[in-house]
Amino acid sequence: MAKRKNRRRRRNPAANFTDDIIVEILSRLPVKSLCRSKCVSSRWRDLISHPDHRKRLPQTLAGLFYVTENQGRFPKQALHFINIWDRERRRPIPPPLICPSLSFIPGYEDISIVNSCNGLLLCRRPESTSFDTFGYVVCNPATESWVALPGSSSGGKLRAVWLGFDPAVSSHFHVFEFLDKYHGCGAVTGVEIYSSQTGVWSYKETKWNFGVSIMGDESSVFYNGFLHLVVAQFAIVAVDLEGETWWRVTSPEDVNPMFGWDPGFVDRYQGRLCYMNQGGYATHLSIWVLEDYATEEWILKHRVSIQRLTEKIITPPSNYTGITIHPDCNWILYAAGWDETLMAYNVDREEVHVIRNLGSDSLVSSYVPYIPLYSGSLTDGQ
Amino acid sequence: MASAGSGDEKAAAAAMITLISSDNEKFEVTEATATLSQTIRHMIEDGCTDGGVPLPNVTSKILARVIEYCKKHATAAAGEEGSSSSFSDAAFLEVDRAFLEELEEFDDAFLEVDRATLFDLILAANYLDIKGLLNLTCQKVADSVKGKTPEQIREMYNIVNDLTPEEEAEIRRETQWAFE
Repeated sequence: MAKRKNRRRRRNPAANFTDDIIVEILSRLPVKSLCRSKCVSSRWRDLISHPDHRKRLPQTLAGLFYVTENQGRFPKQALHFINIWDRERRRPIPPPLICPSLSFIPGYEDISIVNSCNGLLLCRRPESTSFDTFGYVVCNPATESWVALPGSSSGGKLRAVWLGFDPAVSSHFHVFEFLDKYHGCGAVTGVEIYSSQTGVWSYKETKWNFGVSIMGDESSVFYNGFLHLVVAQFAIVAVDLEGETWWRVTSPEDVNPMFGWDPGFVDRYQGRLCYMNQGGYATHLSIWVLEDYATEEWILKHRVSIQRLTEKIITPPSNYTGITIHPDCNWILYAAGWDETLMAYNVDREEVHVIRNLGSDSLVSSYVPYIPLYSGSLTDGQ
Repeated sequence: MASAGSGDEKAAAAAMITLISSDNEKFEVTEATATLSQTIRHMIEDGCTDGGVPLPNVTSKILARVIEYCKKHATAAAGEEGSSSSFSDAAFLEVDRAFLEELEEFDDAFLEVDRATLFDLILAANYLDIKGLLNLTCQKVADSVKGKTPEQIREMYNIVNDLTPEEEAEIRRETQWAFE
């Protein structure tokens, strides 16, 4: 009896699992467990990394689009993509996940990325050769699908435009274009919201009860059905998909402009709305979360000195550029230094990791974080 | 309408399929139960089920469990069809909900097996192409992998680590965020 039991324990039907079965199991793991599972064996590692399986497996922050500018080269401005977790030391360096030229879109040569949201990119494309009117294109680089939006009333001339998309809630996306009296300077008068469900833009007047000016380079996050923006008036403002609810809350800390202007940064942290800035005398990075929209009460979660964030850079700068918070762990991605060193700060362990230099010979003008989305497709990309 | 119904019933009663396990045990099942397996459905469509369907990859012990699952879920599928076509009142929805709850309880109890049996069920579900059963069993394994370290996973699944220390260190560096 005992013998039989032993034999049974040794029997291992899992040894007969095909690649397909293992991928079937892996596809049901949360993304964090999935990434850890790469360490199990070379077979598991290769299955998880294989491009054919990517579409079936959960995804997380994979890389960044970024634009560099260098007056002494042609083209002066170039769009790049990097896989952030692949180190330069590794040989061979894996190819980038995405080709940043977005060559599957007609007229891609003149296209520029405005921003991204959960796997989709909002792009701007000149409508005429004189470059005075622009159209918006929303694309999914993972499925190489795209859709051109009908013209908004501004003719795409405005810079203050954002994408709102959450595949967990709806397969439809929204585009917010803020309007003001003086075409880009002055208080916001309203918003035009495009819905991919209805296929039309609709205008809603502002219900913010104070003057808000939006330039287009504000930090933003689409979360909870609201587009949130950090505005210069020491506040975070938000508007919902219908343009019905307009919300604002004062920043948790006043910034002293004498110590460098930092309006701060808004994102999601541990499932809550989060605001980060270099408060007070611009010596520390503070991470605040909004526990409850109704009470508008910010809770300070963490504080770290700028010195600590930049100490691994040869000539430590006194500033940094916040890029994003990793959606699946408490890591903050930021860039700092003359060569735009991309770094990650692990909030839980208070550790700083250098990822790589992005701008040793050029200026980096914008960062767009990217999470691949393989499900769903923007259908009418013709 | 009534005559069509009785005709269907007759056809269903007549259509019995014999499944033969690897250890030569025979199982008689209705076509409705058997066709939860896409593999068997295709065999029926191709008309090659006369004289029984040999399943050389599935033991009688596992096949009995698979049939138990298919019987329960075939009834559920029939119930769903009935509800969508002819009933829509609240009372029926209530019955429907109770039935779904019962099905969930059945699935939970069905998964109360040792690991080797669970793996055998996955292999059988994959071979027979039974989507529901494959979903159920793979989810159970995924739930047990969740939150485990690579060492624990290797131990659980008897996997030999064939990564060199350098390779493993490289993966850990790249996925460091996931090890918090």
